[in-house]
Amino acid sequence: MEILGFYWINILAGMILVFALGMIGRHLVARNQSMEVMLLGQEFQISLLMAALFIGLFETGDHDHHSFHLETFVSLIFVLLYHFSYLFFLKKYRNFKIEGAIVFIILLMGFSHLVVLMSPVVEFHMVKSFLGDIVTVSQNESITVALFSFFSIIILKKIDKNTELDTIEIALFNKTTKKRAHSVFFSILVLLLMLFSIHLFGSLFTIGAMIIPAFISGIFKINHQQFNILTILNSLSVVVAFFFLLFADRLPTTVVIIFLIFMTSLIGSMFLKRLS
Amino acid sequence: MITLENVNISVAGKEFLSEVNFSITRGEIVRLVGTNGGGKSTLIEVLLGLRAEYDGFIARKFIQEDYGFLPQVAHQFPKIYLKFSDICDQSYSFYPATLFNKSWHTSSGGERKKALIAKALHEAKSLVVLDEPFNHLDHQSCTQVTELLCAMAKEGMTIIYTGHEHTIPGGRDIEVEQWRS
Repeated sequence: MEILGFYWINILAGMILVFALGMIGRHLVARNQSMEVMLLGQEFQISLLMAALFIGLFETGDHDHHSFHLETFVSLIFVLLYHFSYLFFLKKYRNFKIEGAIVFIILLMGFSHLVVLMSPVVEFHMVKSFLGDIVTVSQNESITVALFSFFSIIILKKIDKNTELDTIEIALFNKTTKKRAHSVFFSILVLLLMLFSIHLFGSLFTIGAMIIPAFISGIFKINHQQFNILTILNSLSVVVAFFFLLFADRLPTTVVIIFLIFMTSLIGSMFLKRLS
Repeated sequence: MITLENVNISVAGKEFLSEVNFSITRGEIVRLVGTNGGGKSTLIEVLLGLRAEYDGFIARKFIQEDYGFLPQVAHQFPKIYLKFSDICDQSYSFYPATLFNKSWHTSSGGERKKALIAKALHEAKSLVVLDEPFNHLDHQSCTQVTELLCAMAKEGMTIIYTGHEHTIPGGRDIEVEQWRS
């Protein structure tokens, strides 16, 4: 139990983040943007590497509060650079949306490898941005993520009706029938939430928490309200993962959380479907 | 309601419709006519401000919240569970409340079309734009939709639609192909 007391802020941040990512993931999967999420994940990984290189963070290896914000800010600039290139491509060749994303991902993966080969000292950042580690996240970072995720959930709830309308229309027509102003908020939220999440907990955790629940609930055709229940259950995966640490402290927390989200989504969806 | 003056519309960088000129007044019923691929749907997207690839002058006396729009193509199997009430929970003569609990995934093309028309009508405050509304509809539903649209037009609603055979009485036709590049 001591471990839960020690890491309570990390656990809380993880739980709120899993809930927020799940909510956003449902919209993105319904909008056929799963591959774009993968691409964003890769973009954030290489951007964090570039940011680490850029600000010379890798020399000290420290990850204090100040460097966290600086690294976050610099990596966001890189992500916007990469992603606008993709969106520019998409504007002209929309029918190659998936293949375009795959080519971009491959190029970015190659680029990441090149960067690591040239500066092996950033390899730590590469591994961290992919696998992440909820245990090593500092208290300040956890508070920042918890607060940001919490406010994201509030904003998502505020714009829920219009976001849902957009999602239904994109799912049905591949586009919206109106240009609604709130969609800008939604895009900014997705970007920032992914940035914080990948920076601290890694892309495996982030993409998993976004896509797995939406994918499984989509297969079982559970409704919006049932999905919200599923997302709450999924957020408990973070607590359960820390319980596992009590018995096997060498287990990678992030990986355990992802497996638990998968199992919870699967069993939860089956159960909720039976109830309806 | 809408005026287009010397509008040139491009698709994938190539001019598609040239020198488009027409005006639609409030409460009017207008059918856009033309062959498949003739540019009706493209013109509708330009009218509504959903497509930016054009030059020329367009005056719109409506905002986003004022119109309801039914696009032509809808996916059969979206990756989200949808009941008809998620799409529209306002009943009409052609879209009774008994359909609300139907799942999108297990319903017929005609039922889906009814839900989408109902959504467009429910969202419209001064303008309804329907792209091929009568496809998949049975005769009775076509009549019900037509009667409803006529009644709405009498109350000042502007109706723009595309279609090949079915017409709404009291409207006028605009031939889109006259502007093909």
